[in-house]
Amino acid sequence: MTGIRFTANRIETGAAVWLTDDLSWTEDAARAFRFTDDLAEKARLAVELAERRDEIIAAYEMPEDKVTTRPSAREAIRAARGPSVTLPADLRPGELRPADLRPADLGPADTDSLPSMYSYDAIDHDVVRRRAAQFRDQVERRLSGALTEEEFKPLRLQNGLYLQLHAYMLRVAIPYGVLSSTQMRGLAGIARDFDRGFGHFTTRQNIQFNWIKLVEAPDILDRLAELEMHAIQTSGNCIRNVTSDPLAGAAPDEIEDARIWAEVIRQWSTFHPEFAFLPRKFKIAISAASEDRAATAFHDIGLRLVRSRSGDTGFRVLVGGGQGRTPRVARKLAHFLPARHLLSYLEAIMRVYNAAGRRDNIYKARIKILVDAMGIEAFTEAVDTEWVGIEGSTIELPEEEFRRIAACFTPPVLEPGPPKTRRDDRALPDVPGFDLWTRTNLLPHRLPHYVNVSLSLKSAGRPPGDASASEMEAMAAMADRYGCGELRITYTQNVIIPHVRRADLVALYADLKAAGLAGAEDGLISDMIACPGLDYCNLANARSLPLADRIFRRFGDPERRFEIGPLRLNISGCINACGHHHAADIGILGVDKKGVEHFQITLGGRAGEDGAIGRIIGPSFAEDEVPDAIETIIDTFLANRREGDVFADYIAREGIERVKEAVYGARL
Amino acid sequence: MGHACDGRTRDGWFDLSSTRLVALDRICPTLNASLPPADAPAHLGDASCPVGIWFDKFSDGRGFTLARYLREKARFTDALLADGHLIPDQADYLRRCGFSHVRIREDQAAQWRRSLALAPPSMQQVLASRRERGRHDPSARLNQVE
Repeated sequence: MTGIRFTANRIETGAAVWLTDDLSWTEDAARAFRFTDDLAEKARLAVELAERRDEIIAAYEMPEDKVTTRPSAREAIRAARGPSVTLPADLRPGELRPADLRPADLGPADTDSLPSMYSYDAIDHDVVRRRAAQFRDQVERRLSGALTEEEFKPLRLQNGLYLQLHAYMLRVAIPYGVLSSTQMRGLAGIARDFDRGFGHFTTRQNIQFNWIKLVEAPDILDRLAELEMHAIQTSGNCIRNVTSDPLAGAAPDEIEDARIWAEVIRQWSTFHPEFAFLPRKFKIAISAASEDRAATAFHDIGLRLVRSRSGDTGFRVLVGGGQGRTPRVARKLAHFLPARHLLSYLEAIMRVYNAAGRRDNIYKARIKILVDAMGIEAFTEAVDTEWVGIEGSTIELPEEEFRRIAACFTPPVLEPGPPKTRRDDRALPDVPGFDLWTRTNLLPHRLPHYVNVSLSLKSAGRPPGDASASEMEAMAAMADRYGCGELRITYTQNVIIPHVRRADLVALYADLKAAGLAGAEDGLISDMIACPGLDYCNLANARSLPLADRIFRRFGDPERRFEIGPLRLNISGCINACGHHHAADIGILGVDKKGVEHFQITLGGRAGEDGAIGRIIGPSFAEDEVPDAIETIIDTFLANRREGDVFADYIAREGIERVKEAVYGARL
Repeated sequence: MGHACDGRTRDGWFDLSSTRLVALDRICPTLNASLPPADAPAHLGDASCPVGIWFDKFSDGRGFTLARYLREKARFTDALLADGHLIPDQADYLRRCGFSHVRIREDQAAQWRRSLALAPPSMQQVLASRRERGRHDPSARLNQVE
């Protein structure tokens, strides 16, 4: 029998539903009725009625020819009501776990050390509580029909709430990646109480919960407010949460603590009345160290804090960077903007963009397209013209307020250096895996006897960036025990415990091993960035997660990964490029080829100061073929590299031709 | 009008300061939200009278920049009216961008008042005012919620 099936999502839970023969909605895809042409009009009426009653949203038709021959992966995943890869069951709460993984066994918290981070005063508390109350009112009005879905959508997005394939997703901001152990435990609680016991850390220093009900979202915002957290402007066409260097305040190469300015920008951009309905989303990143660890060149505005010869601090301002379908490396807008003028200058840029950015085509609405169309000279002139009159005005941050915010980031009290007779890196203890782990996962600290430790959220069977509630609690306990009760989220979807004494590394490693978080991955081929892809996302063309897992397993030998050396491999499930494939040594992009998932490979992309966009090597691959193609690329590199080459050096010098030949040679 | 007049309800001008519905009889030009701000002063004329900004869609944020431009750069001081498709949740942003009134359906006035009362504090004002401690009473505006 041929016909049309009708599908939608329930408004309250976001669950995927299908229309049955008695014109009711079912979550069981097998019960979806195929409406023949003569009955289709009746079904359409039922859909319209359900939409008008505010029971369902996002309804669409599935004509027979698209669903019977070979169901698209998207519909198969919706029908399965869940992703094809999820965290291993033994890491999920309420299921079998060895007792020795419990955070209580990791030892008592070191109460002497408190995190150095922004702490809320009465005003900040009031802001987040009110925001939750405001959203509760908006949800009620949506459910009563007082707000249409079109009107409600930007309101829910600006509270971080997306509709995905199986449910709503809530994206919670972790401002510039800084999290206290208390907040991490709070996130674990939310994962348990409102979700399925896990969360997903993202490239923009957020955490996403995948199984959220609309009706419970205001309660979660209340819970977040108590934790001094929120989901404000984590989505929507507004200024998103600002991202920064995950090592800020702990790195050896920084000029100033970037978090101070990131917090200033967070406050300035929060509920900015003029910029809540921009042409498109807007992302700002800030870095204040000599190494750019915030990928500033791939942001709408990238800020690099620099010091002038006279000792003043200012910003090199970049504009128009971004990924997506039109990837651009940002251009230089201002060589040296005195730091005190930051807010007025940002207002000027935003105002030019808000007034002149395109609104007729969603794909041409980002600021990078406006900069392209105007040319960087004319754009700079427009910003400067706009800046006249607001420079030095009340928009600027008062010095007193800057000092108040800066005081929150007073460095933690760390131990003075060890006695000169002791060597920190004396003979390594005989702990299996420890040596390799110290060579990959220790990031430099401003004090020689301290390090910043990277905790890998990449392992076999784990969607990159996913952590269970139990793991979040374990990480919080370790941050208390070995650090200063503080954690950082990186754009590579890992967690960092800053300020760890070298002397404590053996003990920390043992705890990480027990918690299953001791992967020696940082910066290696297995340390992949991947978006949630078609397993969760409404926009995706292909699944990122199963492919990431296959590649992880293919390069499963830690020694081999180490031999390959530093290499960034990123996977995006569609051209929106949330998985940063453009900025990877090896980028993988999911495409839809006549209803079947395929993957395109790019080489030579880079984040950082000298950002570059990867080049496509040739025709796309079926999922099965990708691990072999990657293996061939790696083998070609290993066979031809010069002494000291990392993968990026090799591609920069040799280009992609030899690799391309190796990959496609057999096919041609 | 975004909120179509259906015969049962009437439109009125909602005063974003007093939160009352008021009558306004003299409106000079109504500018489209899409008008480039720099072109706006030429449309203002000499006479002092209210100016309207028309929103085809509530999500057209250009009208907010146009309003601030008129207030801050063109030094426009008379009533500034938001007209077209707008939603109560925008009340606070409209006010903070310099709009004095918005045209609404009269039976929506209670929700516009409620949405104004529910709006979180302005972080931009908080930043600029150096957090005058003790002067901020979180309960003050919540009590206004109807």
